[in-house]
Amino acid sequence: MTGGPLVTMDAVSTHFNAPSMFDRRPPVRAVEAVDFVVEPGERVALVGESGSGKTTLVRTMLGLTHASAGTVHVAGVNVHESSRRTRRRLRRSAQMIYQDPHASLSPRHRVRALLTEPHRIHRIPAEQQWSVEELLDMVELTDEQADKFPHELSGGQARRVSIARALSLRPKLLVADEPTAGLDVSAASAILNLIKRLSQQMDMAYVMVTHNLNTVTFAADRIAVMYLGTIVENGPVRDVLERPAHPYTQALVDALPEPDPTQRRDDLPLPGEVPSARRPPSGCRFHPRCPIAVDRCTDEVPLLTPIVSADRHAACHLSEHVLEEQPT
Amino acid sequence: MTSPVLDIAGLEATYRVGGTERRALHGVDLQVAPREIVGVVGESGCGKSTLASAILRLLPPGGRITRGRITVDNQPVLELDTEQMRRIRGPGAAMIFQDPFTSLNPAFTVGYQLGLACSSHASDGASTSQLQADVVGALHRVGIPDPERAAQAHPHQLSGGQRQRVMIAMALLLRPRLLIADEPTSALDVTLEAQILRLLRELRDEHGTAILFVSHDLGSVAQLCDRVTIMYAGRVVESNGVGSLYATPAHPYTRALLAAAPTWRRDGDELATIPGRPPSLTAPPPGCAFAPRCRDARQVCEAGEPSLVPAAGGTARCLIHDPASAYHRSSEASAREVPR
Repeated sequence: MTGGPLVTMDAVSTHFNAPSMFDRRPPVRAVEAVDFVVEPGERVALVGESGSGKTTLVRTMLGLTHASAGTVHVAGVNVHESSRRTRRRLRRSAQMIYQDPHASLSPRHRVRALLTEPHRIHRIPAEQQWSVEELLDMVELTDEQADKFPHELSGGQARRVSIARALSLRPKLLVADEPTAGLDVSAASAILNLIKRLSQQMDMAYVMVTHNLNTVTFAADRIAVMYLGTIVENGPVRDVLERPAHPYTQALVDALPEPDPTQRRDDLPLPGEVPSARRPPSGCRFHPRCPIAVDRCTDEVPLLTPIVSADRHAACHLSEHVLEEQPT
Repeated sequence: MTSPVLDIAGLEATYRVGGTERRALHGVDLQVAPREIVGVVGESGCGKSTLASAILRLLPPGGRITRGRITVDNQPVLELDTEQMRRIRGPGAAMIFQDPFTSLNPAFTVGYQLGLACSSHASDGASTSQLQADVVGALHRVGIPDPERAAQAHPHQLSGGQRQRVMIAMALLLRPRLLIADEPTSALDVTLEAQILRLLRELRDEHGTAILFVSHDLGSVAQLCDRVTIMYAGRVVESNGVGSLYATPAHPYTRALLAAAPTWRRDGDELATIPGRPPSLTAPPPGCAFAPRCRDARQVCEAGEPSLVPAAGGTARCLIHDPASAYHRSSEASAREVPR
């Protein structure tokens, strides 16, 4: 394999519900002209409010949702224009774990069968297969769990089974859609610890969709912030959170409830909600909610451009201003 | 001192699952004063939602209150008949749930349901047009865009955040003396969560509504509540004012919860976790329920159940704070190694 990026998304758009004779409304522009790169071994967090297009973006990345425009390459494979055989190879190198583990694990199979299924589907030679015990051990489950059905597992345990299934193929990329949704804080932290440790051991990149900003500095090297189908800011995670260059990122950070009663906020960091992706606002899509928007923001679409350093980008006409307002 | 809006004493509740009884609540005492916001915090399975539902006798099938007393607005809830209970729900106490979809009827418009809730509890026969104006006003108040249209919408046409705000609009219209909010922001984005927390605070400030705020998120509890009660395995393990509880947590479980609350500002190779899992509710351990996971546990902790004792200005259910306990006798003082 070449030394290039693991994932390259180039001007990718994903639209749903194209107008028809029965529904003349404009399509839902869930993802709009997104460029996105993941380097081998890199850990990326994808954040944004519900409706920002995070899940659609990662599904398009793996070819699970059809791209309306643009190209996607994962591990050297053109995801949307390849043969079935090539796509199967792609599924070996790029695996996904879903939000609800109970919905993604067949209720009729025991854990043992669930764990060996990927090996069977991909016809992995026996000498390259991991044993059920090795897989359970990898995700810190005991051997007794092998004979259980998914409904007998707790939320955290079911998630561990999903992780073991995904990693049994030794993928180069793991896509995790809200892997800790619905878990208690402590159980969620344990899952994030596990995913990060395994990615280090297996030299595997991951893209994690999350709306918990409190864990991203731990879980990710890089963060990409989405708003209404576009990436509005990306860069090294700590730099971005400590000095956001986009007012939306700033608002997300400010909205986090501090677990400290002596630091109560009375102001509202961000009023309103994400508008409909059928009729996105003109110019900068964030301008109707933006506290600092000027006339230019309603007319001119801001492009994702380098700011501060070569590895940071923001799509805002006023980035310089946003950065100046903050203590360094 | 004014009498509390909510007074719970010695409450016990069980669920029948299959053939076994699970004790979900274990002698819970809790008071909420008028205008007070009290947080109830714990991990899943600690009984916090059972407690919230028990107050208005809304336990799911199989759930049963076996002992104790609940007083809402000076009315003994457990002794009322259906009609008296109906009168308590609404103006006396209202409840909002984690998933507002299940508490709205999918067959009727949001405006109709809000209007119905008000008219069925209004003592004076308010006119329909007045009701409509009130409903639209409440929807506007909670920040729903285009409130006239939202009033005509069915619940499925609104987003999760909008539905949650519809439930709060209902609370605004009913102006209950007590609002029970069971994880109202858990399914929402942080931006919406901030909006909901602010609305709850306004409800208290403007109408004097007391709020019981059930949550597992120590962040929103710190932002909203005056007092906090921590629950573990169906028991109250600590209660204190919000400032003291966060500054000087007395129970080892509270300390562990606070240490495990992640914040992006913290650096580190690992996120802090609480080792082990909550105990089984069918066969709880004999002593302190938290002892198997507690880093300060000693042999004596497994012997008998500790009682609530004064600690750090509040109360905590832990032998560390009981000076008379054998925990403090030197012969026992070797801390037991807790297996991870």
